[in-house]
This record gives sequence, C-alpha cells and structure tokens, in this order.
Amino acid sequence: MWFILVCFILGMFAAYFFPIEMPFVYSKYMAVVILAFADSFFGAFKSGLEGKFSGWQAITGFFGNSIVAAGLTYTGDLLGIDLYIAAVILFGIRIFNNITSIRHLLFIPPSSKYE
Amino acid sequence: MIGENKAHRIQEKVIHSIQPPKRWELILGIIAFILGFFIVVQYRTQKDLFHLIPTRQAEEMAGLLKEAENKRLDLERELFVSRQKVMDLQSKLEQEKSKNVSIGEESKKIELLAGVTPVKGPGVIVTVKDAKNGQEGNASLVHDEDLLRIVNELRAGGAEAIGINDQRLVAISEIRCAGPVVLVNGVRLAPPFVIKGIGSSEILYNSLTMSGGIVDYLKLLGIRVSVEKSNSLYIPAFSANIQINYATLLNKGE
Repeated sequence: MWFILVCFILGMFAAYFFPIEMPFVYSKYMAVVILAFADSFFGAFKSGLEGKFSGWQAITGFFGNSIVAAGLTYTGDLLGIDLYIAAVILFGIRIFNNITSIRHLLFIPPSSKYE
Repeated sequence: MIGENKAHRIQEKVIHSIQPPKRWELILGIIAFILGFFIVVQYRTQKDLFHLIPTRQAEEMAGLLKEAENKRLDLERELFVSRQKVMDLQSKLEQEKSKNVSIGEESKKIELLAGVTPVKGPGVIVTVKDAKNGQEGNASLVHDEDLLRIVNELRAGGAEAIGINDQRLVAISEIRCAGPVVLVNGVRLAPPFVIKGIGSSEILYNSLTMSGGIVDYLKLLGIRVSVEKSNSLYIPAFSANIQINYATLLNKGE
C-alpha cells in the first residue's frame, strides 16, 4: 500500500522537476487519458485488494483505456461533437464505483470484524 | 495486561503495513507513478491555460464589458454636451472679438506667427541647388545646415513668415538631415530647395547677399544659390497636426 503511495508521489515529483510543457491543443486529450489512467488504476487496486489481480489485465486495461479515450476524443473533434464527455462520464462513474469498493474492502466496519 | 496486548497489536499492525510490496503492488506502483506524473504535467498546462482564458470569469468579464460600454456611451454624451459648450463659447468669443478689435488683432498676430493660416506679402525667394555635376564631394551638396543658416539669416532680417518648398516653418518646425533628403515638418524635401521669406524684401535681400554672407559662402562651395525679390509671395499654412502633450499654459505673471 505504502509503496503505491510513494510511487504516486515520486511520479508527481518527477513531473515537477522535469520541465515538460504540453501544447494547449492536447490539453483535452491529456485530461481524458489521465481519467483513463485513474480508472484503470482504481480498477486494478480493487482487484488487487480482492486478490483477483492480473498483471496482464491491468497493463492492457491501462493502455487500452487511454488509447480508446484519446481516440474517442479525436473522433469527437473530427465530427464536431464533444465525444470525450462520454469517456469523462463513464470513467468518472467507474472511478466512483471502484473507490467505493476499495473503501469497503479497506475499512471493514468494526461490527463485522468480530463476526 | 490489556494495554500491553493493545500495544502489541498496534506493533504487529505497523510491521504488517511496512512489509515489502507484493507483485500486484509493484505493477500498481508503476501505474501510480505514471498517473502522478501526468497529473502534474496536466496541472501545469491547465494553470497556464487559465491564465490565458479565465473561462469561469467569462460572465464576469462580459458584465465588465457591458459596464465599460455604458460608460463609453455616457462619455460620448458628455463629449457631445462639451462640444456644444465649446461651440457656444466660440460664438461668444466671436462676438467678443467683433466687440474688441484689439483682441482680434492680437489673435491675428498670434495666428500669423503660429503659422496656422496661409500668408502673402512681399519678400525674397531663395533657390538652392546642389553643385553642378562634376564637382563631386560632400560639401557641394545642400545640407540641412545650409538651409538652417539661410533661415536664420532671414529671421535676423525680420522675416515674418518662412516656407521651404511650401512647408511653413513654425515654432516647432525642424530642419534636419535624413540621408539624401532634408526633413522639414516631418516631410521629406529634396533639392532644389525654394525658401520663401516674407518681410522687407530690401532688408532680406541685403542680409542674404552681403559680402562674406551666407550666399557668398555657399557659392564658394559651388552650391547654386539665387536670391530674388518679389512683391507678392504666398506661403501656405502649417498643415501637420499640432499635438501638445507636455507644455501647459500659465497666465502672465505666474
């Protein structure tokens, strides 16, 4: 658990010290990809807690989700529809669901502890 | 006993929580690293974006724009009223002028000196040309300094209005070199230069052509100068827009 948190903070520090600037044009894509990343992250985290973790699934989901999300955004740009909203909503809901499950798995209510 | 037990349990918990990461935690760690990295990069980009287009403040700005527009309209109305006031005052001034001729004469004098009206009268015409071909050299060309000296001489001779190639010389006029041309009132003039001075044609002619004077000097350099007396010269008004940004008028005695 602590390892994941440390990795997250390390990643943030790395970006902080790397002077990487995204062009504004890709800002929208980046946002959707980040959401896809977050979705896969929480999904993998949940399955890890449940003991059903599959490394292959986590990695394919990680890249697959982001590619699909970016592709959706691009298609939306081509068609003139804000199609990325679909990805945002879907990922948003899934992240919420996963976080709820993680919460249930991590913080077992005291009443059930003694069952 | 119970307290000891509790402490032991907490210790166990701590040891349990800092055990080495499992395989799935390793993979998740990599994902978390990338996630954190991207979030900060995106944050940086978005922060700059907000600087450029504060979308959330768009409505607020629209309100400000409307306000400014209203202010502008108010000011326009004010301007209109002020203009009318000015017109009233001007017509009043006109009346005053007709009442008081001496004031009118004063303002005429000022207008003449300021060069805001065209003038005519007797005087001299000075024509200055570069030296004939073959006499090469910097000195054989007409320079801004030569023109300045002629103008100075005319002023010393009491010229009341001076024009160079129909550019009226006023208090703020410049005569300066600008490569192959001469700048007067911001207008580029090329030779031949025709300098007209209104004043006593006799005095002006004599002051220019006195021996050892400016005409002699220029002729010595090979520059072709001719001075003619004239009974009726016309010099146009100063045409550029006069902008006064720094000087303010003080009343006499202040």
